[in-house]
Amino acid sequence: MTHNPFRQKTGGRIDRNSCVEFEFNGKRYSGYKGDTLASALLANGVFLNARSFKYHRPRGIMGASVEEPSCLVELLGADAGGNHAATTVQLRQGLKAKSVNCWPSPNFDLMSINQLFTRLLPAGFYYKTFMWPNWHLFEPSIRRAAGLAAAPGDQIPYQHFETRYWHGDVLVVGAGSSGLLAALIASRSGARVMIVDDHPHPGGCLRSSQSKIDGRPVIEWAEAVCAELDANPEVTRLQDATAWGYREDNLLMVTERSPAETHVFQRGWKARAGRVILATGAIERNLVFANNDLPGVMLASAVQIYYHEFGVIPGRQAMIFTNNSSAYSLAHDLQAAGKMIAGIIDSRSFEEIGAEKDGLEIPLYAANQLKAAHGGKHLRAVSIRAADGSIKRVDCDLLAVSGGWNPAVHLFSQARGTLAYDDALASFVPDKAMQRLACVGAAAGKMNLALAMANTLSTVTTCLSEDNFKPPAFSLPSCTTSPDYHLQPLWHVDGMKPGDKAFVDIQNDVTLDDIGLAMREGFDTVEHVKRYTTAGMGIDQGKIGNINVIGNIAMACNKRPDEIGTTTFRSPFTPVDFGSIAGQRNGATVLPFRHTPITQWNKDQGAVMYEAGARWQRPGYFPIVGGNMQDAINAEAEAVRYAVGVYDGSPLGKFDISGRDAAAFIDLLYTNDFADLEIGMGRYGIMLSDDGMILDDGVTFKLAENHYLMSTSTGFADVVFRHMEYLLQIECESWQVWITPVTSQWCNATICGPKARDVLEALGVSIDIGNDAFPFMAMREAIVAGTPARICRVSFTGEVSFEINVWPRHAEAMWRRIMEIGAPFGIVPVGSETSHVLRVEKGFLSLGHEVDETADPYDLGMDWIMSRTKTHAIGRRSVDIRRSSGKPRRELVGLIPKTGGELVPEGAPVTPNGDRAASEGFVSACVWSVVNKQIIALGLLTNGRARIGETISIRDRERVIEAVVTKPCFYDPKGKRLRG
Amino acid sequence: MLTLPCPFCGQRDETEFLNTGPTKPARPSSDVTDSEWINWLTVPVNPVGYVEEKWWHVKGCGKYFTIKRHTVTHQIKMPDEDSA
Repeated sequence: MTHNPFRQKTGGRIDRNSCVEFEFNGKRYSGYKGDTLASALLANGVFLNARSFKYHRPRGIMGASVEEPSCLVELLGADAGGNHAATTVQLRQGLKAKSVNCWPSPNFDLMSINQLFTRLLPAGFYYKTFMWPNWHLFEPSIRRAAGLAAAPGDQIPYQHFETRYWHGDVLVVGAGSSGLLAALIASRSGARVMIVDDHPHPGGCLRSSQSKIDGRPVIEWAEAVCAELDANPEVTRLQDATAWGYREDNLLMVTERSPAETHVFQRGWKARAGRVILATGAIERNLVFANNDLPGVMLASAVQIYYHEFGVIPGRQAMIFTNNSSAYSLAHDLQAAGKMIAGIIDSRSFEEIGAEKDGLEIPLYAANQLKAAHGGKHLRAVSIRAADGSIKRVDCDLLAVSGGWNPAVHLFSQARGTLAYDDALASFVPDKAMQRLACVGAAAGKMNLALAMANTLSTVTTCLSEDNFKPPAFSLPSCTTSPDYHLQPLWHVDGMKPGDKAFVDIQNDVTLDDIGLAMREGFDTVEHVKRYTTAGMGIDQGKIGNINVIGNIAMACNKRPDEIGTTTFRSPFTPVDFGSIAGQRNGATVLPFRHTPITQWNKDQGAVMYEAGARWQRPGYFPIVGGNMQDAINAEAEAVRYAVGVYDGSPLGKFDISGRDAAAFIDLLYTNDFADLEIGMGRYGIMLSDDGMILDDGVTFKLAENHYLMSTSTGFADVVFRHMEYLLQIECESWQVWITPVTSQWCNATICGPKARDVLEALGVSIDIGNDAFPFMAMREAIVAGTPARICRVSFTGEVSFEINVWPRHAEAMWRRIMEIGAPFGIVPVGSETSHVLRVEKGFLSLGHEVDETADPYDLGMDWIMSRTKTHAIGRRSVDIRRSSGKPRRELVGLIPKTGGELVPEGAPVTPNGDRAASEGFVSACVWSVVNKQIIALGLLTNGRARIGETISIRDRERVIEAVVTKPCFYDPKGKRLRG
Repeated sequence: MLTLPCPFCGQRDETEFLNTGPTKPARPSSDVTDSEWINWLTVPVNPVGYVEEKWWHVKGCGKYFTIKRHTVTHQIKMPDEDSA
């Protein structure tokens, strides 16, 4: 049984035969199919349903649509989502929601103690108070207290988010009378059209009016138009869908909240249109008086919507407070429904009030103002202030407020359009568009239905003609005229006292006092006021309050509102679930990993997998039974140093470079000479960026005349490719060089260690692999274990190494064969942790460790790599200029830290005497050396080479570690072993 | 999100491209002074208005191409079009 004490017996467009059960803040209620969460709560008499953002004041529902500032809810369970206005949540069976700003409940909110301290919590309070020692210390608990909804933790069962693209000619935002007319004209012109509307049903604000189009109620006209649109396959019509972002080149972000497909929870559209028609209507604004945020105070238009749409009148005794003509239609509605109306307070003089008052038989307080609303957790009465200053108190439990209408220029402003102030509307209207768009109807400031329709017809026809469509002859529908819209600006009521809680921005809890305080403290432009008070920020984006902020600033400094200007409206227009932006790109599919053919084998061995850069998955280390990670790394490293190991070097970047000018191109890229490189041999090279810093390093083999195979570090392959393509396409246009990325075309197993040659022999190899026939840095084509392979003798470990490159389809078989044949030699697989240990022992540099785009080759002690004769290499000039200054540089050194066995964190700074002072270097790598049986490290140290033998101090948070400076090589400095 | 005119692929979404910055003057010859070199290296153009830029169709055909983009309005012109 549905008990809805504030529901009318008849009327509204809900289905009284379908009862819908739902839960709000843990209590069960019921509503009807067609309700929103807000209308169902009001029908149940749940008026206190939120607490405010900062002061935790009691709040109720104020609006009926996207403008709702107060009642934000978190949806739970199957509807999981945060920060939705209750007015935009369609009621569904079993819906569970809770208020976002209160704990444990809106009726008993522990944080409401903030209200007692409101005098202590003015604008900027947090900025001023929580400065020492730093804001970040306090931020988490303040954010919790002020917080909006947490990210939902619940999974959505059986449904998923989806994204879709749309490309077309005309995108209409808003399916009110103007939007529908625009879509109708466009579709009849043969254009591909999308029309997007954030209400579940078309018709816009006129759904709640008595206006007629073509002699029919607006809803009937709207339904007829929609039927015609839906019959056209070129038209996409979305209801309950918000266009919340306007990007460059007419790209609109749209979230469809209730797609027809039941498996789709929400659908995000990226809609690109040749022309956008903004028929976004207007949003009613609030009036500023004391306690204008009490539950029971609502926008007049919202009350009308609740009555017409849902058959709900959320009060027994209504009062209306307005400064314009539009609120009178509510009075007529309530009078016709036979409801008690305590009166209508109009700040305009009796003479200014036009035909809108005709036929009303209720008290009219003309030239009066509402002084204050009274009540604790709900409105009980209002004080009315007459022109002579006398005060009259009238009981009421519903106050419908109208401060006039603001064209919804949010999307127009997001599209970088400029705004102009309209005196008659006392609001900002679209001025100059910066993209291919047009505003029509109320969004363009046309508040009268007949005028809006005429303006829409002419604007849309002009746009379509400009876009080479031929709009058919179209006769303007006849519209019943409503009384002319008339308004007298009222930025705040007279006679306010300091300390009155008169809110200009309800959602962000910004009062009139706060605006005054900000201006007294020198924040006297609208941008500063916004940032200092937070007015117009957040998910509200100034829907009902922004113009009041501007009006009040203007009043305070005695200027016109257009001299104050507006702040920029930001996207999203309404809160958006991240899921609808991401669609099905979530989890592992956002940035997919890259795998070599050995990944599965590695995982089968229990390897702990790391990312080796550029999303490549590589084993970090292979855990051993009865040992920890360091034991496992030591065992792998010892195998390489004293027997044999093998690692998967496939992710290393590889480029095949050929063409008439390939040799010249290699010479341009690398700082050292490649001209004398023989075919079949490779050479280590360093390439610089134009600023003379190291870009990448690697070995390049000469395969034939003007044909090279370049290897790069794993993580920088893409950067190197971009660098090379840039040079070839922009700077060396006439050169003939082709670059083919072959990283994934060659996989390699690198056998390394003193027994590497024995293993390769045992595998069966078709060539002589003795040191004379196949020296260090040579490459040979051969058949290895029956498989064609390229073998390279390079070494990143300091031991004899054979890099066996095969095609990917042979890689796994080759790997298994190596493990099988190598077993008697004690072969073990080696992960990247061990590679790191081995290269640190040798002092080989690693990008991202020693090289961080601030180092040049001299800093690393690699003077030999800077050619004496070749000065045109990229970056060379910059290095020479920088070094000619003679300023001290950070140089690569070895470090032996005295830690007693602990590793020093990479990145730890070196400071003079270990003081908390500017650093003179840092630790770039630190490992346990299996050959030296001690902790060793590499680091960059100011003038480091001159300081070998010195003891320096490393800071690790509060600890100071002493370390002896050495040469940056701890093993086989002459390189005899790797050449052996 | 912009759309950009790739000379091979036509008008495509910005997400397919990488902006590699404003067009630099030609690389100076080796006989320029140090200050001329530093000027070339470190001083990019940064106008309020049209700026000539290099874009790379990295997730498409791989072509580097040149356009003029207005830094305020994002309007795009071809390099040989009048910038007025």
